[in-house]
Amino acid sequence: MHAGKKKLKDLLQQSDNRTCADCGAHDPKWASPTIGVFICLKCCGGHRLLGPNISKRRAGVCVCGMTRLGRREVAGDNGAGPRGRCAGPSSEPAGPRPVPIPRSLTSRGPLLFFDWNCNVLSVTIDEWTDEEIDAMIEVGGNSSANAIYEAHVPDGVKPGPDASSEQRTKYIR
Amino acid sequence: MGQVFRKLFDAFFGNSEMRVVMLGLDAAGKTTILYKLHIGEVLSTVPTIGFNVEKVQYKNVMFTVWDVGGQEKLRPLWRHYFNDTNGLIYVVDSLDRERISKAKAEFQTIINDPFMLNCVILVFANKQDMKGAMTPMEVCEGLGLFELKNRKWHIQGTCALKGDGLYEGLDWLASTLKDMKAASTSSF
Repeated sequence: MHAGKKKLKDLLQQSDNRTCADCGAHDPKWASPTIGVFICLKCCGGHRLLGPNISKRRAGVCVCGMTRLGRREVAGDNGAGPRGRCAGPSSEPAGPRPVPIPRSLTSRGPLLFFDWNCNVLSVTIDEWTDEEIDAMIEVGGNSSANAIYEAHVPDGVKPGPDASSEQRTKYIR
Repeated sequence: MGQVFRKLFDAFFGNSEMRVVMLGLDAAGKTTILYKLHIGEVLSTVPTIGFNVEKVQYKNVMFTVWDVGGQEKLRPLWRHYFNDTNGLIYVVDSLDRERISKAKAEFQTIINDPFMLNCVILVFANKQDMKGAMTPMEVCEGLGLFELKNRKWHIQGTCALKGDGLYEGLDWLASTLKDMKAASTSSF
Protein backbone atom coordinates (compact mmCIF):
# COMPACT_ATOMS: atom_id res chain seq x y z
CA MET A 1 0.00 0.00 0.00
CA HIS A 2 1.05 3.57 -0.65
CA ALA A 3 2.89 4.85 2.41
CA GLY A 4 0.71 7.96 2.74
CA LYS A 5 -2.47 5.95 2.46
CA LYS A 6 -1.21 3.67 5.20
CA LYS A 7 -0.60 6.65 7.48
CA LEU A 8 -4.12 7.85 6.75
CA LYS A 9 -5.63 4.46 7.57
CA ASP A 10 -3.64 4.36 10.79
CA LEU A 11 -4.96 7.77 11.73
CA LEU A 12 -8.48 6.60 11.00
CA GLN A 13 -7.99 3.69 13.40
CA GLN A 14 -7.27 6.10 16.26
CA SER A 15 -10.10 5.79 18.80
CA ASP A 16 -11.40 9.37 18.46
CA ASN A 17 -11.61 8.91 14.70
CA ARG A 18 -13.89 5.89 14.89
CA THR A 19 -16.90 8.17 15.14
CA CYS A 20 -17.99 11.10 12.96
CA ALA A 21 -16.60 14.41 14.22
CA ASP A 22 -19.96 16.12 13.74
CA CYS A 23 -22.73 13.68 14.56
CA GLY A 24 -20.94 10.84 16.33
CA ALA A 25 -22.06 8.16 13.86
CA HIS A 26 -19.90 5.07 13.90
CA ASP A 27 -17.16 4.32 11.36
CA PRO A 28 -16.74 7.51 9.29
CA LYS A 29 -15.33 6.92 5.82
CA TRP A 30 -14.93 10.53 4.67
CA ALA A 31 -12.67 13.33 5.72
CA SER A 32 -12.09 17.01 5.34
CA PRO A 33 -8.38 17.63 4.85
CA THR A 34 -9.04 21.33 5.29
CA ILE A 35 -10.28 20.98 8.82
CA GLY A 36 -8.63 17.68 9.58
CA VAL A 37 -11.64 15.66 10.70
CA PHE A 38 -13.12 12.31 9.80
CA ILE A 39 -16.84 12.49 9.14
CA CYS A 40 -19.69 10.29 7.95
CA LEU A 41 -21.28 10.39 4.52
CA LYS A 42 -24.31 12.33 5.74
CA CYS A 43 -22.25 15.09 7.36
CA CYS A 44 -19.99 15.10 4.34
CA GLY A 45 -22.85 16.70 2.38
CA GLY A 46 -22.87 19.66 4.75
CA HIS A 47 -19.13 20.12 4.55
CA ARG A 48 -19.27 19.97 0.80
CA LEU A 49 -21.86 22.74 0.76
CA LEU A 50 -19.38 25.07 2.39
CA GLY A 51 -17.80 25.24 -1.04
CA PRO A 52 -15.57 22.48 -2.24
CA ASN A 53 -12.91 24.37 -4.04
CA ILE A 54 -10.86 27.54 -4.34
CA SER A 55 -8.83 26.32 -1.48
CA LYS A 56 -8.81 22.91 -0.01
CA ARG A 57 -5.58 23.87 1.58
CA ARG A 58 -4.61 24.93 4.95
CA ALA A 59 -4.52 28.63 5.34
CA GLY A 60 -2.95 31.13 7.67
CA VAL A 61 -4.29 34.00 9.62
CA CYS A 62 -3.47 37.59 8.96
CA VAL A 63 -1.56 39.63 11.51
CA CYS A 64 -4.74 41.54 12.22
CA GLY A 65 -5.83 38.32 13.87
CA MET A 66 -9.23 38.37 12.29
CA THR A 67 -9.04 37.70 8.62
CA ARG A 68 -8.30 34.36 7.19
CA LEU A 69 -5.78 34.18 4.42
CA GLY A 70 -5.37 31.42 1.88
CA ARG A 71 -2.04 29.82 1.24
CA ARG A 72 -1.36 31.95 -1.81
CA GLU A 73 -1.94 35.11 0.18
CA VAL A 74 0.34 33.83 2.89
CA ALA A 75 2.96 33.31 0.22
CA GLY A 76 2.45 36.89 -0.90
CA ASP A 77 0.44 36.29 -4.06
CA ASN A 78 -2.68 38.29 -3.72
CA GLY A 79 -4.15 37.29 -7.04
CA ALA A 80 -5.69 34.19 -5.55
CA GLY A 81 -9.35 34.85 -5.65
CA PRO A 82 -12.40 36.61 -4.46
CA ARG A 83 -11.90 35.95 -0.79
CA GLY A 84 -9.16 36.02 1.69
CA ARG A 85 -7.59 39.36 1.03
CA CYS A 86 -7.12 41.18 4.26
CA ALA A 87 -8.45 44.67 4.63
CA GLY A 88 -8.36 44.60 8.39
CA PRO A 89 -10.81 43.11 10.83
CA SER A 90 -13.78 44.97 9.36
CA SER A 91 -13.55 42.89 6.19
CA GLU A 92 -14.58 39.80 8.12
CA PRO A 93 -17.13 37.91 6.05
CA ALA A 94 -20.39 36.85 7.61
CA GLY A 95 -20.27 33.38 9.03
CA PRO A 96 -18.70 31.53 11.91
CA ARG A 97 -15.82 33.29 13.59
CA PRO A 98 -12.56 31.73 12.51
CA VAL A 99 -10.68 30.15 15.33
CA PRO A 100 -6.91 29.91 15.15
CA ILE A 101 -5.53 26.56 16.16
CA PRO A 102 -3.08 26.93 19.07
CA ARG A 103 0.55 26.79 18.13
CA SER A 104 1.00 23.75 20.35
CA LEU A 105 -1.08 21.75 17.91
CA THR A 106 0.92 22.75 14.92
CA SER A 107 4.40 21.62 14.23
CA ARG A 108 5.42 24.24 11.73
CA GLY A 109 4.52 27.28 9.73
CA PRO A 110 2.05 29.99 10.51
CA LEU A 111 -0.96 29.36 12.67
CA LEU A 112 -3.02 26.59 11.21
CA PHE A 113 -6.35 27.92 10.40
CA PHE A 114 -9.45 26.71 8.77
CA ASP A 115 -10.77 27.99 5.54
CA TRP A 116 -14.36 28.88 4.82
CA ASN A 117 -14.06 26.69 1.85
CA CYS A 118 -13.96 23.08 2.52
CA ASN A 119 -13.27 19.99 0.52
CA VAL A 120 -14.22 16.45 1.36
CA LEU A 121 -12.50 13.30 0.27
CA SER A 122 -13.37 9.68 0.76
CA VAL A 123 -10.82 7.57 2.56
CA THR A 124 -11.57 4.74 0.16
CA ILE A 125 -12.70 6.12 -3.20
CA ASP A 126 -10.61 9.25 -3.60
CA GLU A 127 -6.97 9.79 -4.38
CA TRP A 128 -5.17 11.76 -1.69
CA THR A 129 -2.15 13.92 -2.20
CA ASP A 130 0.67 13.68 0.33
CA GLU A 131 -0.10 17.26 1.26
CA GLU A 132 -3.67 16.38 2.20
CA ILE A 133 -2.58 13.38 4.22
CA ASP A 134 0.02 15.48 6.04
CA ALA A 135 -2.65 18.05 6.83
CA MET A 136 -4.81 15.35 8.42
CA ILE A 137 -1.91 14.02 10.45
CA GLU A 138 -0.89 17.48 11.54
CA VAL A 139 -4.28 18.19 13.02
CA GLY A 140 -4.10 14.87 14.77
CA GLY A 141 -7.66 13.63 14.48
CA ASN A 142 -11.19 14.41 15.55
CA SER A 143 -10.48 15.11 19.23
CA SER A 144 -7.84 17.74 18.61
CA ALA A 145 -9.83 19.37 15.83
CA ASN A 146 -13.04 19.48 17.82
CA ALA A 147 -11.17 20.85 20.82
CA ILE A 148 -10.77 23.95 18.67
CA TYR A 149 -13.86 24.15 16.54
CA GLU A 150 -16.31 23.16 19.22
CA ALA A 151 -14.68 25.04 22.07
CA HIS A 152 -17.54 27.52 22.21
CA VAL A 153 -20.41 25.28 21.17
CA PRO A 154 -23.09 25.11 23.86
CA ASP A 155 -24.34 21.71 25.01
CA GLY A 156 -27.23 20.20 23.15
CA VAL A 157 -26.55 21.97 19.86
CA LYS A 158 -24.55 19.21 18.28
CA PRO A 159 -26.56 16.87 16.06
CA GLY A 160 -26.67 13.13 16.68
CA PRO A 161 -26.40 10.28 14.19
CA ASP A 162 -30.13 10.46 13.48
CA ALA A 163 -30.20 14.18 12.74
CA SER A 164 -31.75 15.41 9.50
CA SER A 165 -29.61 16.81 6.74
CA GLU A 166 -30.90 20.33 7.51
CA GLN A 167 -29.84 20.04 11.15
CA ARG A 168 -26.44 18.77 10.11
CA THR A 169 -25.87 21.47 7.52
CA LYS A 170 -26.89 24.20 9.94
CA TYR A 171 -24.54 22.90 12.58
CA ILE A 172 -21.62 22.42 10.22
CA ARG A 173 -22.01 25.96 8.98
CA MET B 1 -50.90 -4.05 -29.26
CA GLY B 2 -51.01 -1.18 -26.79
CA GLN B 3 -47.31 -0.66 -27.40
CA VAL B 4 -47.90 -0.25 -31.11
CA PHE B 5 -50.62 2.36 -30.58
CA ARG B 6 -48.41 4.14 -28.11
CA LYS B 7 -45.59 4.30 -30.64
CA LEU B 8 -47.91 5.58 -33.37
CA PHE B 9 -49.33 8.14 -30.97
CA ASP B 10 -45.88 9.31 -29.95
CA ALA B 11 -44.72 9.48 -33.55
CA PHE B 12 -47.78 11.51 -34.47
CA PHE B 13 -47.37 14.03 -31.68
CA GLY B 14 -43.59 14.13 -31.93
CA ASN B 15 -42.95 12.66 -28.49
CA SER B 16 -39.58 11.11 -28.13
CA GLU B 17 -37.22 9.66 -25.58
CA MET B 18 -33.63 10.45 -24.93
CA ARG B 19 -31.13 8.66 -22.78
CA VAL B 20 -28.65 11.01 -21.19
CA VAL B 21 -25.70 10.35 -18.95
CA MET B 22 -24.57 13.14 -16.65
CA LEU B 23 -20.92 13.09 -15.65
CA GLY B 24 -18.34 15.40 -14.15
CA LEU B 25 -15.82 15.58 -11.32
CA ASP B 26 -17.01 15.13 -7.75
CA ALA B 27 -18.89 18.05 -6.21
CA ALA B 28 -19.65 19.62 -9.59
CA GLY B 29 -23.39 19.59 -8.86
CA LYS B 30 -24.68 16.63 -10.87
CA THR B 31 -27.08 15.28 -8.27
CA THR B 32 -28.31 18.76 -7.41
CA ILE B 33 -29.04 19.37 -11.10
CA LEU B 34 -30.80 16.03 -11.49
CA TYR B 35 -33.22 16.68 -8.62
CA LYS B 36 -33.71 20.32 -9.53
CA LEU B 37 -34.89 19.08 -12.92
CA HIS B 38 -36.86 16.15 -11.57
CA ILE B 39 -38.76 17.72 -8.69
CA GLY B 40 -37.87 21.38 -9.03
CA GLU B 41 -36.28 21.56 -5.62
CA VAL B 42 -32.79 21.84 -4.25
CA LEU B 43 -32.12 18.79 -2.13
CA SER B 44 -29.20 18.62 0.21
CA THR B 45 -27.09 15.94 -1.32
CA VAL B 46 -24.28 13.70 -0.19
CA PRO B 47 -21.54 12.38 -2.49
CA THR B 48 -23.06 9.87 -4.89
CA ILE B 49 -21.67 6.39 -4.55
CA GLY B 50 -23.12 4.53 -7.47
CA PHE B 51 -25.72 6.41 -9.47
CA ASN B 52 -29.10 8.11 -9.46
CA VAL B 53 -31.48 7.82 -12.37
CA GLU B 54 -34.65 9.82 -12.98
CA LYS B 55 -36.98 10.55 -15.84
CA VAL B 56 -37.44 14.20 -16.71
CA GLN B 57 -40.22 15.21 -19.07
CA TYR B 58 -39.50 18.45 -20.84
CA LYS B 59 -41.66 19.67 -23.70
CA ASN B 60 -42.30 16.49 -25.64
CA VAL B 61 -39.08 14.75 -24.81
CA MET B 62 -38.74 12.21 -22.03
CA PHE B 63 -35.18 12.39 -20.79
CA THR B 64 -33.83 9.48 -18.82
CA VAL B 65 -30.98 11.05 -16.93
CA TRP B 66 -28.28 8.94 -15.32
CA ASP B 67 -26.27 10.78 -12.70
CA VAL B 68 -23.12 8.84 -11.89
CA GLY B 69 -20.82 9.46 -8.91
CA GLY B 70 -17.73 11.51 -9.74
CA GLN B 71 -15.21 10.50 -7.08
CA GLU B 72 -11.84 9.64 -8.51
CA LYS B 73 -12.07 5.89 -8.14
CA LEU B 74 -15.63 5.80 -9.47
CA ARG B 75 -14.64 7.41 -12.77
CA PRO B 76 -13.37 4.19 -14.40
CA LEU B 77 -16.94 2.90 -13.97
CA TRP B 78 -18.42 5.68 -16.11
CA ARG B 79 -17.84 3.79 -19.34
CA HIS B 80 -20.38 1.16 -18.29
CA TYR B 81 -23.06 3.80 -18.74
CA PHE B 82 -22.02 4.76 -22.28
CA ASN B 83 -23.81 2.09 -24.28
CA ASP B 84 -26.95 3.28 -26.02
CA THR B 85 -26.59 6.86 -24.81
CA ASN B 86 -27.86 9.74 -26.95
CA GLY B 87 -26.45 12.59 -24.98
CA LEU B 88 -23.77 13.54 -22.50
CA ILE B 89 -24.27 16.27 -19.93
CA TYR B 90 -20.86 17.18 -18.59
CA VAL B 91 -21.04 19.26 -15.44
CA VAL B 92 -18.13 21.50 -14.51
CA ASP B 93 -17.68 23.37 -11.25
CA SER B 94 -16.82 26.79 -12.71
CA LEU B 95 -15.20 27.82 -9.46
CA ASP B 96 -12.72 24.98 -9.46
CA ARG B 97 -9.90 26.46 -11.51
CA GLU B 98 -7.43 24.12 -9.91
CA ARG B 99 -9.09 21.04 -11.32
CA ILE B 100 -10.14 22.27 -14.76
CA SER B 101 -7.29 20.35 -16.39
CA LYS B 102 -8.45 17.24 -14.56
CA ALA B 103 -11.97 17.94 -15.79
CA LYS B 104 -10.61 18.25 -19.32
CA ALA B 105 -8.74 14.95 -19.17
CA GLU B 106 -11.83 13.06 -17.96
CA PHE B 107 -14.01 14.84 -20.55
CA GLN B 108 -11.72 13.92 -23.44
CA THR B 109 -11.64 10.29 -22.30
CA ILE B 110 -15.42 10.14 -22.29
CA ILE B 111 -16.08 11.72 -25.65
CA ASN B 112 -13.42 9.67 -27.40
CA ASP B 113 -14.87 6.40 -26.16
CA PRO B 114 -16.17 4.35 -29.14
CA PHE B 115 -19.65 4.20 -27.58
CA MET B 116 -19.82 7.98 -27.24
CA LEU B 117 -18.72 9.07 -30.71
CA ASN B 118 -22.28 9.74 -31.82
CA CYS B 119 -23.64 11.37 -28.72
CA VAL B 120 -24.35 15.06 -28.47
CA ILE B 121 -22.47 17.00 -25.81
CA LEU B 122 -24.00 19.51 -23.45
CA VAL B 123 -21.64 21.17 -20.99
CA PHE B 124 -23.05 22.83 -17.91
CA ALA B 125 -20.65 25.45 -16.55
CA ASN B 126 -22.22 25.26 -13.11
CA LYS B 127 -22.02 27.55 -10.07
CA GLN B 128 -22.17 30.71 -12.18
CA ASP B 129 -23.66 32.51 -9.18
CA MET B 130 -20.35 32.32 -7.36
CA LYS B 131 -18.00 35.25 -7.40
CA GLY B 132 -14.81 34.38 -9.23
CA ALA B 133 -16.37 31.58 -11.28
CA MET B 134 -14.94 30.90 -14.72
CA THR B 135 -17.19 32.17 -17.50
CA PRO B 136 -18.71 29.58 -19.86
CA MET B 137 -16.14 30.78 -22.42
CA GLU B 138 -13.27 30.04 -20.04
CA VAL B 139 -14.73 26.61 -19.30
CA CYS B 140 -14.97 26.04 -23.06
CA GLU B 141 -11.30 26.75 -23.43
CA GLY B 142 -10.46 24.73 -20.33
CA LEU B 143 -12.15 21.62 -21.72
CA GLY B 144 -10.80 22.06 -25.24
CA LEU B 145 -14.27 22.28 -26.79
CA PHE B 146 -13.10 24.50 -29.63
CA GLU B 147 -10.80 21.80 -30.88
CA LEU B 148 -13.61 19.28 -31.29
CA LYS B 149 -14.24 18.17 -34.84
CA ASN B 150 -17.51 16.80 -36.14
CA ARG B 151 -19.23 16.88 -32.80
CA LYS B 152 -22.42 18.59 -31.79
CA TRP B 153 -21.79 20.45 -28.59
CA HIS B 154 -23.19 23.31 -26.59
CA ILE B 155 -22.12 25.07 -23.43
CA GLN B 156 -24.54 26.57 -20.97
CA GLY B 157 -23.76 28.60 -17.87
CA THR B 158 -25.93 27.33 -15.02
CA CYS B 159 -26.75 27.85 -11.40
CA ALA B 160 -28.30 24.61 -10.18
CA LEU B 161 -29.47 26.15 -6.91
CA LYS B 162 -31.65 28.67 -8.73
CA GLY B 163 -32.27 26.45 -11.72
CA ASP B 164 -30.83 29.04 -14.11
CA GLY B 165 -29.79 27.66 -17.48
CA LEU B 166 -30.88 24.07 -16.88
CA TYR B 167 -33.93 24.15 -19.12
CA GLU B 168 -32.11 26.15 -21.77
CA GLY B 169 -29.68 23.23 -21.86
CA LEU B 170 -32.48 20.67 -22.20
CA ASP B 171 -33.97 22.83 -24.94
CA TRP B 172 -30.78 22.52 -26.91
CA LEU B 173 -30.62 18.77 -26.30
CA ALA B 174 -34.22 18.31 -27.41
CA SER B 175 -33.93 20.35 -30.59
CA THR B 176 -30.58 18.82 -31.51
CA LEU B 177 -32.00 15.34 -31.02
CA LYS B 178 -34.98 16.22 -33.17
CA ASP B 179 -32.75 17.55 -35.96
CA MET B 180 -30.64 14.43 -35.86
CA LYS B 181 -33.68 12.19 -36.03
CA ALA B 182 -35.07 14.15 -38.94
CA ALA B 183 -31.73 13.89 -40.73
CA SER B 184 -31.51 10.15 -40.16
CA THR B 185 -35.09 9.42 -41.34
CA SER B 186 -34.75 11.61 -44.42
CA SER B 187 -31.63 9.72 -45.41
CA PHE B 188 -33.63 6.49 -45.87
